[in-house]
Amino acid sequence: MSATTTAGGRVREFVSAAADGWTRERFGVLGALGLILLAFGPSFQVYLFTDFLVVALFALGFNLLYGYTGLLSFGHGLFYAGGAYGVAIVLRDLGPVFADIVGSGISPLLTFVVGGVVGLALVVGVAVPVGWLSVRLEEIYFALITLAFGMLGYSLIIQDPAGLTNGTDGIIVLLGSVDIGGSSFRIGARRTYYALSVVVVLAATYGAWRVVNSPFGTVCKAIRESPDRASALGIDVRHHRWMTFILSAAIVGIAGVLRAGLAGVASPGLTHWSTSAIAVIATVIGGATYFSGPIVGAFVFLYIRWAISRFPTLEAYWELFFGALLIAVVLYFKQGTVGGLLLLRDRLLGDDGDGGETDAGGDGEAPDGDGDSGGAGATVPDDETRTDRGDDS
Amino acid sequence: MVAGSPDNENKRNRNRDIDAGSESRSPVGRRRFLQAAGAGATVALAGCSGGGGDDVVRLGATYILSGFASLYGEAAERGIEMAQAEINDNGGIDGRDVEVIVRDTEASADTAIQQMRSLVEEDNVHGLFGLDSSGVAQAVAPQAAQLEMPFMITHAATPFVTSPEGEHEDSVGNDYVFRDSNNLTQDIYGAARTAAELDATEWATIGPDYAFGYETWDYFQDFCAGLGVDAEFTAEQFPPLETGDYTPYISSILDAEPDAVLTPLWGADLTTFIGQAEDAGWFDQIDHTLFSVGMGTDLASDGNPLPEGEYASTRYDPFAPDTEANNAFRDAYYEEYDALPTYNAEGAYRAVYLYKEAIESSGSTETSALVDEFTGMEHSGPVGDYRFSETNQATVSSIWGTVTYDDEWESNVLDPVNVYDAGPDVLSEALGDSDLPAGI
Repeated sequence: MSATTTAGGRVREFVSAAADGWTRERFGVLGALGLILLAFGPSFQVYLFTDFLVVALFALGFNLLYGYTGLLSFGHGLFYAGGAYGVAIVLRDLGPVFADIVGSGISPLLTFVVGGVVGLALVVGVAVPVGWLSVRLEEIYFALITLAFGMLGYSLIIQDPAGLTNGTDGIIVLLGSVDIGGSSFRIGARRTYYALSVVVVLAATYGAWRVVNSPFGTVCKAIRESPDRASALGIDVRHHRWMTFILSAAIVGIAGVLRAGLAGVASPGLTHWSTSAIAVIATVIGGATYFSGPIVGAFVFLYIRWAISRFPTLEAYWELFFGALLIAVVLYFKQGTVGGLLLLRDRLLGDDGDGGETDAGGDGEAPDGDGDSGGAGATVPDDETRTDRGDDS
Repeated sequence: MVAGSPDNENKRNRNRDIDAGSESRSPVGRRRFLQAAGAGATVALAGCSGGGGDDVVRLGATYILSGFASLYGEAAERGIEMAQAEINDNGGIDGRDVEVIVRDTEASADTAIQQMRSLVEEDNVHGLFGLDSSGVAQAVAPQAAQLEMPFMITHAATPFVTSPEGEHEDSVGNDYVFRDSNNLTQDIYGAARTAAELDATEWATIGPDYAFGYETWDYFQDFCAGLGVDAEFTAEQFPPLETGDYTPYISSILDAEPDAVLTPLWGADLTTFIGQAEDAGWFDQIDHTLFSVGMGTDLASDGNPLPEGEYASTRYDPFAPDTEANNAFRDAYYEEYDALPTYNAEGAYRAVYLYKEAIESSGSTETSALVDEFTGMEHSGPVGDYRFSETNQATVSSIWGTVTYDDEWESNVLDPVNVYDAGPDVLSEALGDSDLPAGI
């Protein structure tokens, strides 16, 4: 990305870029400010926004496979649940063990971190064989086999194997309080958890953004456009899809870990196909061809859902309302909300051409802000794949 | 993915060209637009939330309003409607109208917790009540303490929500959670008392595959041991919730040839089961079937699914006690809804009155005042006189009886009906050496 400069130089560069009109850096700063300000908003809004962040990460992970590699998975709930159950089981069974080892002050935090790592490891452990089998298939067959794996996970969790998953009741997730040096805070407290989620989601989003803009991501797009051509260029299509599958599952797993702490319970519904469908719907609403699509889609999905819930009469038929919305998006906004908004902007503002914007400086800020700033970056190489077909493997 | 002809493929590519092109040309305007939209939305959202002046007492209720057990939520809504109308027509609570917001838990802990947070933080309710499912109740109880909001459970029966944290590994009871209806321990104590009267030694169960099903069976065995009932436990089946075909489970029980069966199936699952059990000759072959909490489903369902002559329990009986309060409630309910009140309707009805009494006697809607009032409170309603025990559980009776069709009410009733006193001392004694908590 940016040229190698000293830290001070980078800061100066960043500050001047932020001061210089409506640049990406300024949006980064405003976005970060917005996120901080939101922490002081009404408690329920903080909760709702945290929920949005988690669902956005879930959809983003899913879209790595769908929008970037062209494989529609209907079973990503499996990995969502995997992360949630991993952390829930560790918190339930190992919490007291850790308390004995490191003392009860710090142990809730340590248990949560270890739980998160275990959840992630569990997800990757599941994704490796599931992905290996699934990527042998394409299109509808791929969708069906992932759906089958998702529902297999659902049945397994309901069966309560070895008393681990607690059947349909799910596992209660209590995050506990941390006492360090006289000060004490609750990890599950609304704002603490919000801050934690912001950091984790931004980091994961940034990671995903780097991936899609790396040679790896470019190969993904090449496969999406034409598996045959990619393979003719010497790409091992199946292997590459498998790796993307695992990566995508891991990101969804991180979202699952956050979900468990937020919801206060890890329930089998997380791996039901209807949960997997949330990622699909958010992505379709937002626009699968944009990096920011799933994020914007998750925002639209959750906030419209929330707005409906404020009206009891609409609430009773919210699925009907959403169905209509989805039909409208699919019929009239093939590129999703992001595509629709771009089109709208072009109509309203005309083409105020601003071609080769560089990525200088604000690497860390790029994927934050209103959550969509990565979009432009993501489509630049998209352009390249199309114009320089075949040059980039 | 669209597989597509080359033609389709081209179209897709063309679209993408246009969009990608416009995006890279002017990212700034797009963001500005999005941000403006976001800011607008935030302002609009902020406008919606809030509310909650001092002019009304606002209560939040969470029940199952959709899916296989929606009849429970509907019954509760009727009870709430009645209580609300009665109170508001008679001067309200300290002169303020009471408003109840009812939300759907979809029988899911995840949803229930979200609804609770929304009720407390968006609608600024003064108190919460409700819950039909034990599994949901167990997940919700710690959240009530975190939100610092009193929660009056009116239906979910798991003893662990009124068993203080630490008493048993599953205990989640805390200062904020109360229950005005009888719990599983009280109910199953009555089942064991009923079993003691029956000429049956071999017992089996068919229950739903979650905490409630297993707890029922565990408690039944321990109560039988504690009460010295001569019983063997020969077969158990736990079909998952919302099972469509009970035939294999029914055959398995019939093969074991028990004398009697205790079943805690509920909601639409119970009516499905009864239909298929009848077809399989269940009620000819098995001498006695005990439907724990059976009347809650029977009265709320179309027709009267429970077969006459079998045994069922209820947490509230429309005819016992024969008091003025109960008769007035039953008659008013019957007039309004053309059906006898279920225990879920009564539990929800009483919860609204419990809040009324607590608010009027403390003169406050503050959480701490309400929690103080509820703790150890003595109260009286259609169900009779009771108080809240040390663990916040109402000391209501256990009610079991024989299912009989009553022509006058055009409904199944329990006749004869046995009312067993089920206070803390009685239950701990009856549990004997069991390590299960009494939950009271």
